[in-house]
Formats: sequence, structure tokens, C-alpha cells
Amino acid sequence: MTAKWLRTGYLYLLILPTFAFILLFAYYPSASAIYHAFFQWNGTNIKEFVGLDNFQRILFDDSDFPRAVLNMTFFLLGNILLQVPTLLLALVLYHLRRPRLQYFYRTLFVLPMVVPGMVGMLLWKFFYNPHVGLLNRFLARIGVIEAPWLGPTWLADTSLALPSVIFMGFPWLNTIALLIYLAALQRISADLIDAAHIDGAPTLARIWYVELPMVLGQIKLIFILSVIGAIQDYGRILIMTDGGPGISTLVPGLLMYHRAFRYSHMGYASAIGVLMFLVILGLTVLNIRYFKTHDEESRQAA
Amino acid sequence: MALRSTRAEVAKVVVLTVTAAAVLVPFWVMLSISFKDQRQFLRNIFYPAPPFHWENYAAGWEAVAPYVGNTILVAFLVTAISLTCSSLTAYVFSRYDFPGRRALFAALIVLLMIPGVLNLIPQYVLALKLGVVNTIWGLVLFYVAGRQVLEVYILRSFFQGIPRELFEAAQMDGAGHVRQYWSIALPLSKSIIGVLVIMTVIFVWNDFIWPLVVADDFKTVSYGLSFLTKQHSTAWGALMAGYTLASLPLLVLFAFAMRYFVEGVSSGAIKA
Repeated sequence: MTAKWLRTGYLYLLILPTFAFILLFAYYPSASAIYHAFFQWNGTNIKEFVGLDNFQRILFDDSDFPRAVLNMTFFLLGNILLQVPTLLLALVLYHLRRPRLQYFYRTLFVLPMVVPGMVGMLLWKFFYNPHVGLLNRFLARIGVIEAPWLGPTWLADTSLALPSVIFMGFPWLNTIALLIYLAALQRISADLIDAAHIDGAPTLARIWYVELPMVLGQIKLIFILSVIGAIQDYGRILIMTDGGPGISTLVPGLLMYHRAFRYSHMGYASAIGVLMFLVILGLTVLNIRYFKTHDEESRQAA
Repeated sequence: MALRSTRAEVAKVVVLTVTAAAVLVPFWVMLSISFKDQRQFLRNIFYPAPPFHWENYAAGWEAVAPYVGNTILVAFLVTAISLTCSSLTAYVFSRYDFPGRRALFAALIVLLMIPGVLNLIPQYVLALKLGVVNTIWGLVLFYVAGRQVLEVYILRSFFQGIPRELFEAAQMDGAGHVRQYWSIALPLSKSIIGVLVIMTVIFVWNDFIWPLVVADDFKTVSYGLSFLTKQHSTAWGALMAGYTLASLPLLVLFAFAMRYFVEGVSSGAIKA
């Protein structure tokens, strides 16, 4: 009996470090964020309970918030749209007949992952530089504009800044998604492909009726990841424009960052964080349900 | 028929080549500029031309070396600490039944659904209280906590795939928990651990917001590069040389481990 207790106690001891870490550095902050969303709080000495006041002010009184949500919606739509090239590329790569060539191009497309994301962003920031950047020099060279400095100012232009940040990173290759699609395509059984061949199905029909349905699960996964990413990632915008000019590229995440670290409105910013968390949580739950029913259907079918 | 399919094959190769070229253009321009002085930079950036200004690389190295050093140190500590803890936890969860097992595991996994935006502010306040702002520990402690969740999740399902008989045989020979973990579970999961190491290193290399908030005096690569770009926004040659040098350590890591990584992602072991 004692021996058994000792053994079980030992097991708890082995998992203790993990739980100590997440309790202090993950659970406690999450609870603190939700708790402080109901306070006027500067992070240190000023702390006063204000009920739902923060939420009310964000949703109804903050003139920056509606614009931030609108911008986020554009980022979200852009993010979804820009997943299409990766899927098309995966299909082309999958249809290459020579395995060595396939391996070669796959390696080539994985290569950019080696470069830190920050370098990619800073390079694009340089491309958009109106005086010396790549884009305006290129436009000048092909004769669209007379000189680089006479071209558009991109990130500094109120109406161009948002599309410039959304569409940076041409040709929008998502390496991880490419590998996931490719792996899923390569798992399609040879029988299925042969059957389609024997039926004489043309390539486009094969793609539409055989290959795309087989990667539908992966497409959904990438879709939901890009939606959640668009809602919560604001690092790219912070680097490229810091929400400007004015508030033309501001998004809720960046608004939270500004309120917290430039104005020390920690309670107000926590409330923005809680709102974003609720939206993401809702999407995640929807996503889990959606996937589950899909799994069960396929199990029943099998 | 043969002719048509050859033509289709050529078309595919053309599409892939053009796309690959477009993907690589930014890095080509980066390399090209990294060899230029200001006059050459103003004249042309599309291809490198002599004289090559190698001294840009000396200046770039001087600027980015501290950031690279910091990042390697942080990545090493985070990888070592988090993988030690998470592999033990994953092993316990995959092998043994004990009271509270399901609840504890659920409590861990639910954290995968908590987005970083919710925690950013209280984590900063916590770092302030602990006195770790502007030190290496402000990065390491929080990263270790964050990385463990995913690591436990992935490692547990990997450990579960190891045949039970292997562990039982070892147990018959008198091996205890830790011994079985150390001489069976770990050696059999080298490749997946390799993938997790790469993922953590890439994460530390790329993370920007948390260092910006908490590590002004201990800048890692991403924050350091954005900081440098603001400070020296006209020394393009040296800046681009710095970008190049800051990318090299990951290139070296990938040269060794790219295969594991691609296989890991492709085998579906890592879903996100």
C-alpha cells in the first residue's frame, strides 16, 4: 500500500515542473486579465473597480475601435484569399511527374522559412520605401512613373497603407500549409488515382472530384488558422505602419498594445484582450464541432 | 498524347520556377545591396556589381552579433528546460494511470485555446513583480511555460505510439519509471524531439512583441533588427549585411535538420 502511494506520489513529482510553470506563467495571467478587465488599472498603484464600464467604452465610445474592427475584417479577408496561391502551388507540385523534380522544388519553397520572419518584413518595408525602395525604382525603370520619388508613398499614404500591408509578401507562399497539403495529396491511394485514370477523367475533373475533397480537412485547418491569425496577430502591422498613417491600419490587437504600453490603460487594454479572446474562443469551439461532425460522418461512411 | 503531357509537364515546371523566383527575389535583393556602398545603392539595387564592399559585413556583424548571441542563449535555455519538463510530463501521461490524470491533462490542453493577446498585459505586470523585466529570465521563464503545452501534446501522442511490450520488458528487468523514460521513450523519439527543437528555435528567433515589451536590454534577433533599422535607416549596405548574418544560424540549423522537419510536418505529427 505504501509502496503504491510512493509510486503515485513520484508520478506527481515528475509532472510538477510543467504544472508549476503553466500555473504561474499561463493560468495566473489569464485569470488576471479577465479580473482586471473590470477595473480601471495602470498596472501598479491605481486600481478601481468599474464594472462593465471598460467594455461599454470600447464598444460604444471609443472612436478608434470601429475602424480597427473594419481594418481587421479586411486583413481577415485578405488572409483567406491569399491562402489560395499556396493550394494551387501544392496541386501543381503534386502533379509533377518526376519525383526528383518534385523534391527539388519542395526544398526551394521551404528555403524562405530559414530566413527570420522579421527580415522578410523589414525587406518589404524597404520595398515600399518611396524614395529608394524596390517597388518605385521598378516602376520608374519600366516607365510607369518618371522617377522613384514621384511614385506612390505606399505605407505613408492613408488610402494605400492598408492594401500595402495586406498584400505584402508576394507571392504569399505559406510554407507550412504547402507541406501539409502536399503530404495530404501524397496520401491519396493509388487505387483512387488509377480508377479516375481508367474512367478517363480529365485532369481538372480529377482535381475537383478526387484531389480537393481529399485535402478538404487540411483546407479547413489552414482556413481557421488564417482567420484566428488575422484576428490576433498585429506584429506585422506594428512593424510596417504602427497603425498609421492616422489610424488607417489600426487593428484591435494593436489598439490594445497602444493603450497598455503607451498610455498605461492596463484595465481598458485587458478588456480589449478579453473581447478578442471571446471571439477567438467562439471560432475555436465552432471549429472543433465542425471537425468532429466531419470525422463522425466519415467514420459512419466507412 | 505523349506530346501533350510533355507540354503540360513543361508548363508546370515554368509555373514552379517563376513562383520560386518570385519567392527568392527579396533575398536576392538583400544580398545584392549588402555588397554596395551608398552611391552604388542609389544607382542600382537589382544585382551586385563590383567593387564589392565586404566591410558592410564587418559593420553588420558588429551590430547584430549581440542579438544573435542573446537569441542563441535564450533558445538553448528554453529548449533544454522546456523539453526536459515536457517530455517527463508527456511520458507520465502516456504510460500511467493515476487519480486526476484526465483532469490534469485537460487543464494543460485547454491552454492551446488561449490566445497570446489575452495574456500579454498581465504577463508583463507579472514580469515586473518578479523583477525579471530587461533580463534574460523575462524571456526564458515565459517562453518555457508557453512552449511546454504544445510539446506535451505532441510528445504524449508520440510516446503512446511506442509498443507497450518494450516498456514491459524493461520493467521485468527491473527498470523504474525514470529509467524506462530515459532508455526507451527518449531514444525512440529523437526525430520528433528534433522537430520540436527546431520549432522552438524558430519561435524564439521570430518572436517580436514579447521581447519588445519585456527585454529592452536583452534584445533578441527580431526586436534587435527592427531596432537597428530604425536607428540606421540610411546605412542600407550594412543593414542588409546584418539581415543576412542574422539569418545564417537558422540556415545552419536547417542544413542539419531540414529533413526531419519536413518529414515531421509531412507525416502529420504536427498539425499546426
